[in-house]
Amino acid sequence: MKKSVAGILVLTIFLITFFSRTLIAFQSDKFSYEAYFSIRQIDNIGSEGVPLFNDELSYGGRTHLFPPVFYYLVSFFDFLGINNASKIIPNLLSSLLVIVAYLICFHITRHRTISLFGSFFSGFIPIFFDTTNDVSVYSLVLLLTFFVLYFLMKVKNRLHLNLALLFLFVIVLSHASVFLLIIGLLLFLLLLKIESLEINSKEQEIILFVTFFAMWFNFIIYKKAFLTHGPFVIWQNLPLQMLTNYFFDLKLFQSIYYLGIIPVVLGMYAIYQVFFKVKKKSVFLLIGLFLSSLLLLWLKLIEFKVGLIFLGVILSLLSVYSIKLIYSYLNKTKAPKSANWFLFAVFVLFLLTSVVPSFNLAYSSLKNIPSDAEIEALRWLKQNTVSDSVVVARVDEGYLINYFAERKNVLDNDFLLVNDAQLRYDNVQSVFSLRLKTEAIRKLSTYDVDYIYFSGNFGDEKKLYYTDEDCFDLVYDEVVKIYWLKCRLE
Amino acid sequence: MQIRIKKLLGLCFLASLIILLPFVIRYYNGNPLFVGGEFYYNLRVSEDLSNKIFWDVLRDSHHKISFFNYVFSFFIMFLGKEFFVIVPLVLGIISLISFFYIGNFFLEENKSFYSSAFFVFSPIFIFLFSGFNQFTLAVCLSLLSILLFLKKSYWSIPFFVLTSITSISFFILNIILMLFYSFYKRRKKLFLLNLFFGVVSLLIFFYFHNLSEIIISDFSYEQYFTAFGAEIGLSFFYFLIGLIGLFSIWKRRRGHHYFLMTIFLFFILSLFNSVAKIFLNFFLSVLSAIFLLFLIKRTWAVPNIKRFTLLLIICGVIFSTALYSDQLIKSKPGKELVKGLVFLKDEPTAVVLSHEKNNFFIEYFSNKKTLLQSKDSEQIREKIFVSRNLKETTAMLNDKRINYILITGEMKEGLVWDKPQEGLLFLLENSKHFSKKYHSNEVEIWFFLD
Repeated sequence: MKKSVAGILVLTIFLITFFSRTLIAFQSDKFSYEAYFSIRQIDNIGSEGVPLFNDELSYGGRTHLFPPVFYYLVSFFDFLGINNASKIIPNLLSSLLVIVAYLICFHITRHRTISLFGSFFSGFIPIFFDTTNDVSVYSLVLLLTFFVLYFLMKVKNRLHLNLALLFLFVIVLSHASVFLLIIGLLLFLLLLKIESLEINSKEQEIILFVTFFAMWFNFIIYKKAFLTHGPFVIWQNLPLQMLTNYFFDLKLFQSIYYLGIIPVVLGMYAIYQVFFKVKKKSVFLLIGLFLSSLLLLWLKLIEFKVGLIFLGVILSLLSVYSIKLIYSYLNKTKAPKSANWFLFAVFVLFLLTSVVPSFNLAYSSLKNIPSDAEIEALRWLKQNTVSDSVVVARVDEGYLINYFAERKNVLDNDFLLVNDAQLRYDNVQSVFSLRLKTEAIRKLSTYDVDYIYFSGNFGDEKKLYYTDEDCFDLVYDEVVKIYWLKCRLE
Repeated sequence: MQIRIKKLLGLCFLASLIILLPFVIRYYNGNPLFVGGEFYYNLRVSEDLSNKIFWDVLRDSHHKISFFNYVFSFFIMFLGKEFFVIVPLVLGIISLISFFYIGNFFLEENKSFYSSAFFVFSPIFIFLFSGFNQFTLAVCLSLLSILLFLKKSYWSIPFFVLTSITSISFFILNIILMLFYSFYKRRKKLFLLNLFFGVVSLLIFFYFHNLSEIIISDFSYEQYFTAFGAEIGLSFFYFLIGLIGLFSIWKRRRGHHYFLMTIFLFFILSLFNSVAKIFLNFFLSVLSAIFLLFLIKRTWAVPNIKRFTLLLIICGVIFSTALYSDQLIKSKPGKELVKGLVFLKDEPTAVVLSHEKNNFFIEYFSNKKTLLQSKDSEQIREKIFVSRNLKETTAMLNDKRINYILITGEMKEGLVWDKPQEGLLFLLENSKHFSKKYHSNEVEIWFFLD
C-alpha cells in the first residue's frame, strides 16, 4: 500500500472516530457527573484566568491540588462556547490517538495495511468509547503517553528524542498519572535487562531523568497533601468503601467485553510470542506499560476505568503484532490468499465485538448523566436559597451542587486535603439510609446542613425515612426531593 | 592550599547566609528571632541557672539540665539576647569546617567540598544552626572530637567529654563511630581513653542533674522526613539522591565496607532516634556529593539531559532548603502571640490553659504556670476544649485551678476546633463565667471567674 493511501485511510479513521464520538456527545447538552468539576475549572479560567484552587463551595471551603494544563488547553478554545469546547476538545484528543496508534503499529510491523487495523482498533475500544461525555484529563494523558512511547521507539533520531523530552515534560505537568508511564518505562528497562537485550543509553538517560523530574514536580505540587496524609496520599485519601468498590463488580467476561475480545486474545498472544519466541524491543515497551497498568490496578492506585482504558489501548496495539505474525505465516502456506481472508475475518469480528459494543456503551453512558429533572431541581436551589447554604447530596452529586446550584456541598469526589474524609463519607452515606430522626439531625448539624438533596439515583433508598414535618420542610417536590432542615442538634 | 581556603571561605559565607536568613526575615516581620518552644524552655532554665536557681517554680520540679544549659547561660550573660544569634552562627561555621576536614580524611577534596555544600543546604543544618538547642552544641562538639580523634590527638578527649555531658545520644553514637574506626584501623588506645573519660564524666554529671533525654522513640514517618512535617527530619530529596549515590558506589563496595556498614547501622538507628538522623544526614550529604560528581564526570549520550539533570538536582536541593526555611520562618512564636503573653505577665499569678504547643511560650513570656503534660492532663484538656456543658467545664477548670485561657488563631482553625462556637468557644462567648481580657488578630485571653 502506498504511503499516501495509508495516510488518507488513517485520516479517514480519525474522522470516523472523531465524528462518532462527537455525534454521541452532542446527543445531550450535559456531561457526566464527574465532568462538572472540570467544567467549573475551565469556566473559572475563562473568567478569572486561573483555575479554582481555592474553592469556597466544595466541602464548604477547601483547597484543590492539581496540575492545570488540561484545563488551560480546553479553556483556550472557549471561543466555541465552554460547553462546546468541553464536548469537542476531549473527544478530539481521544480521536487523535488513532494517528499515534498507526505510527506505533507501523514501527512494529512495517506493514501499512495491518497498521491500519491497529489504528482502527484503538479508536473503538468499548470502555474508551464510553468517555464521550467525560471532560477528562485522561484524554490528553493517553495521547501524550502513546506519543512518548512512539518517540522512544525512534529515540536514535534527534528530532524524535527532542520530541520525546518535550512530550514527557508536558505530561509531567498535566497529571500525576504520568507515574503509570514512568513505572512502565522502568519495567521496560528491567525487561530488557532480564532478556539481555541492548539498552540504548539515550533511552536509559531519558527514563531516569523523567522519573526524577516527575517525582520532584509532583512532590512540590502535592507537598501539602503529603504533610496532611503522609504516604497514603498516593491513594488520594479515598474512603475505604470507594477503594474496595473498585473491583467489587468486576467479572472477567465483562472486562473482556469492555476491552474487546479481539484485542484481548490477540494482545495476549503477542505477549506470549515476545516473551517466549521472538524478542522484539519495541513490543517490550508496550508490555512494560501493560504490566505497569496491571500493577497500579492491583494496588488500586488508579481508577478501574482508567486502568482498563490503558490496557485496552495497549492490547489493541499488541494485537497488531499477532496479526502480522499470523498474516506472515499464512502467506507462506500453500494458501496465501487465506491471509487476506484472515484479515477480513478479524475486521468483521472486531466490528461485531468491539465497534457495536462501543456504540452500545456510549449510548448507555448517556443515561449516566444528570437528567433534566435534576438540573431543574438544582436551578431551583440556586434561585430560592441563600448563597451560603449548605446542601448535602450523594458523593457523585457533589459537583452538580457546586456547578448548577452554586451552593456549598458536604462531600464530593475530591478527597485530597480533607482531614475527615472517611468520617464525612460514612456520615453522608448514612444520612440517606438512616431511620432515626435524631441521629440524622445530629449528623446533618455536624456539617451545618441547610438542605438535603435527594434524587434517588444513587443508593438503594427510594425515600428518606425520617423526614417528618416537625424538622423537615419539603420545599421542592418533583422527581427530585429537596428538604429544608428546620431543627438543629447542639 | 589557597584554593582549599577559598572554597572553605565560600562555604562559610554560604552557611552564614543560610543560617542568618530566617533570623533576618523574622526580625523584619517583628517576630522574635528564635522559634520553637524548646528554645524558650531552655532559655528560661539557663536564666535560672545564671541566678543559681535549680528549682523550676512553674513546674514544681527540678530543672532538666545538661552541659548545654550552662553554656547557654554563659552566653546569655555575656552577649545578651540581642546578640545571641552570633552563637549558633559561630557553632555552625565551626561544625561546617570540622565536617569539611573530616571529609578530607576519607574523600578527595572535591568530594569533601560538595559534601559540605550538601550539608549546608540540608534541613538538618538549618534546624541546628538557625536556632539554638542541645543538639546545636552537641553537633559542634561531636564533630570537633571526631576530627581530633581522626588526627590521633588527645585533645579529642575533652571535646568528647563535653559531648557526653551535653547529649547522651551523641555520646552513644560517637562511641559507635569511634569503635568502628578503631577496629578498622586497629587503633584502640585513644578510643578506650575517650570512652573511659566520657563514661566517667557522664556518670558524674548526671548524678547531680536529671536525665531528660529520650533516647528511643517509636518510628513515625511523619517524624522522619521534613516533607511530612518532621522538625528534625531528613529531606526526602536528599534521601533519594543519597540512595542513588549508594547504588553508584555499591559496585566498588570492596573498599568501602566500613563506610557502608556504618551507613546501614545509622539508618536503622535513625528510625528510633533523632540524633541518629543528624548523623545519617552527614552520610547522605557525602553520598549525594558522590552521586553529583558521578553525574558530572559521566559521559552522556544526550548532553541536554545532563544539563537538565544537574539543574534538577540543584533546584531540588534549593527547594528543600527554601521550603524548610519557610516552615521555620512561619513557626511560633509570632509577634501577636508574644504581645498577648507579655500582657499576661502583668496579671497576677495564675495557671493558664492553652494547647500544649503554647506551654513553653506561656511559661517564658508570661511567667505563668500551665496545665502540665501528663496523660491525665491531656485528657482533661481535651474534655475542656470539647465540652459545651458549663457545669462540667467549670468543675474541671476549678479542679486544675485554671484562671486564664489562651486561644490562638491556629487553635480555631483546626488545631483544636474546626468551627466557630464549637465546644469551649461557645461557653466563652455565652457564659458570664468568662470575660475577655485581651484580644488581637491572632490571640484571645479569657479570664475564668471562679
